[in-house]
Amino acid sequence: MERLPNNNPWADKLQEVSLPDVGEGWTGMSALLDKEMPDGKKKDRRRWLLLLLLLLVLSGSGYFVWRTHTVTMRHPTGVSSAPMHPAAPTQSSTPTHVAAPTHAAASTSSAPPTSTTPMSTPPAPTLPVATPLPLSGSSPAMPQDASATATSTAPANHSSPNHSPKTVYSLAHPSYPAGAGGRAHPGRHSVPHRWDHKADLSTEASGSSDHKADRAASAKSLQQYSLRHSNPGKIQPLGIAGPHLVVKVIARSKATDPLKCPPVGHSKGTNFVFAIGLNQGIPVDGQQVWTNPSGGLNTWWKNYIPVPSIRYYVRPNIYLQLEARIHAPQYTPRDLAFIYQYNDTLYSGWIEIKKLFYFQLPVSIHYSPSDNWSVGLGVQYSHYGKGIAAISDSSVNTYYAVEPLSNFPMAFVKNPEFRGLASVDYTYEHWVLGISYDKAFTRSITVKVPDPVAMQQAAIIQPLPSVRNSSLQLYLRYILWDGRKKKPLLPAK
Amino acid sequence: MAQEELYKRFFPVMMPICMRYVKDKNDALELLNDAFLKVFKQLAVYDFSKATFYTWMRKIVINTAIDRLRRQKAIRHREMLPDQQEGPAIHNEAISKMNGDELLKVIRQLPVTTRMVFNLYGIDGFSHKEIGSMLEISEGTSRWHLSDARRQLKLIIHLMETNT
Repeated sequence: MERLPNNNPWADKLQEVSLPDVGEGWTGMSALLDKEMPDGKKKDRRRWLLLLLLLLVLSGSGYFVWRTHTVTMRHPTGVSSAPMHPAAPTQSSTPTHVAAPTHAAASTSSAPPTSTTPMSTPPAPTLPVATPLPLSGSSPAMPQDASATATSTAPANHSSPNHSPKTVYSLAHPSYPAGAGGRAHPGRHSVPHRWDHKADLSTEASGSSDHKADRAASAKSLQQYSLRHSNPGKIQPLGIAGPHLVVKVIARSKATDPLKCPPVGHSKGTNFVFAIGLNQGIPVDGQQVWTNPSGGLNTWWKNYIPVPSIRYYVRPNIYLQLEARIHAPQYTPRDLAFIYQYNDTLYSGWIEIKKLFYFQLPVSIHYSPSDNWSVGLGVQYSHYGKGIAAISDSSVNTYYAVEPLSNFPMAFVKNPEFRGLASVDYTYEHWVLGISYDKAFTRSITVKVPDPVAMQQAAIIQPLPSVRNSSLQLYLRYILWDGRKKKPLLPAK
Repeated sequence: MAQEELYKRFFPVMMPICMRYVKDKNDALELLNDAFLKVFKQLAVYDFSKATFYTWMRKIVINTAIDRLRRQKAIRHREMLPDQQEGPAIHNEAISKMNGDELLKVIRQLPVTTRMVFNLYGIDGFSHKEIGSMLEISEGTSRWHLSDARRQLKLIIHLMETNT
């Protein structure tokens, strides 16, 4: 509704009234602005603190979940009970008495050294006992005290004529059966770290059908345990009180038996995951949301060009991610304006930069502290595409327009631009919801007279405030393709 | 920084408008600042394709003035039979002899609603229909206020001339 004042003497005369001092007016205005529109810095500081707090809470909860999950993995059923068996120190003091089934079968007529010699190692502390191993036939009868073990349990088992391989096996099988390759670690329980397959086979040959059943249960238990471990071959200290038990899980060939331990967590797929999503910018750092179509310069759908992304899993819980944001909108602060005086007139232009558009390539490394959550840090490459600026001529009542920023040669946008990036996301099945924040390392826009010689009278009356680009992005992605073949690392899939 | 520049730039053109709608300078400054606050808050939604920045801002200033007077319940919702005559015209000769401050002084002697209608119709160029919807009065009432304004202004100017 364009309406010009009536052309009458009243209107003309009343424009010539004596006015109060503009400085007085601005003093009141600035006070009002401070009250109604507080400085963006304070808001920004609060936002930063909130973001930091959120990250801390997420990290803390993620770590807690991860720890809980890890402890659960380290204490599967039948695994935690056996290593805490008090017979272990006895075996440690007598390496020759390795309670493999074949040894047990062969030594039924002779008492093992441990049965006649006092323990050379200090007695093991009483350890909390978890669920007993299913195949530990003699476990309930086993005393918790190590000294008692040395005098009663071991000899009884080994010297009894009714002793079966099953019994001995249960003693020495803390879910990781002892074998000839067992190592004695000073100050620790000596637990064999390698399965003696030959001994096992011989035991199997001489064992009963019960033993076979137990063996199968043991195999299943061990396999379940192994499946939860992501690092085959890695020494895993069990999280129990007292001296640590060191277990080494070694993968076996397919031709052996069900006790083979496949290298779990190591995908044989491509380890690539492709996704596509939409980003929504959220104004931050005092930014304005410029929704004006600006004569086609700011078409809304161009703000929502789908963002493809690719992940490469270095480890099951660590991945690299690359995104391609085409025509990504960059909001600008409200006061991002400068005043430029033209060379041929005394008029000046008040130019406000409303919005910028970039092609962005964020590269980030992400860590998943728990199944669903992941946090990432990275660097973002940004290539400036175009910008929108609003100009108001000094003849205030005649001209105000929005034009491409390229129409103002005095504005120089840094190109390319690099930014730091931090993100947090939550994954549920095929969907990923996350938020990321990035901030440029350097100042984003500067203004200067492009050609001082040709434009002698031109001048920048008021320069741009020093501003670094930043953006807060809320994103939703859909995983189109998961190239990992085994044990999908994305949760709940 | 940009806000200050915008304020100082538009102050000379917006302040006279504010001074016409309120009784004194302090009220006018308060009114102007309230209007500028609205401008700063709504700057992002300004659509240049609909109106020039000056027009958009002037509209905000006038609306702020109306809101202010409405809050003060100063607008008289007097429904009466409209006088189809808009009152006697005021001679331009008398006006030309006066400067802006004297004219402003004359206008400020009008009752609130009458002054408002006179400003909106006679100076800012709105129609009676628009004024009616803005002030929530009937079109006829707006006409009556205008007629009353002219009658009173003529009387005031005549008295001033007589005194001098």
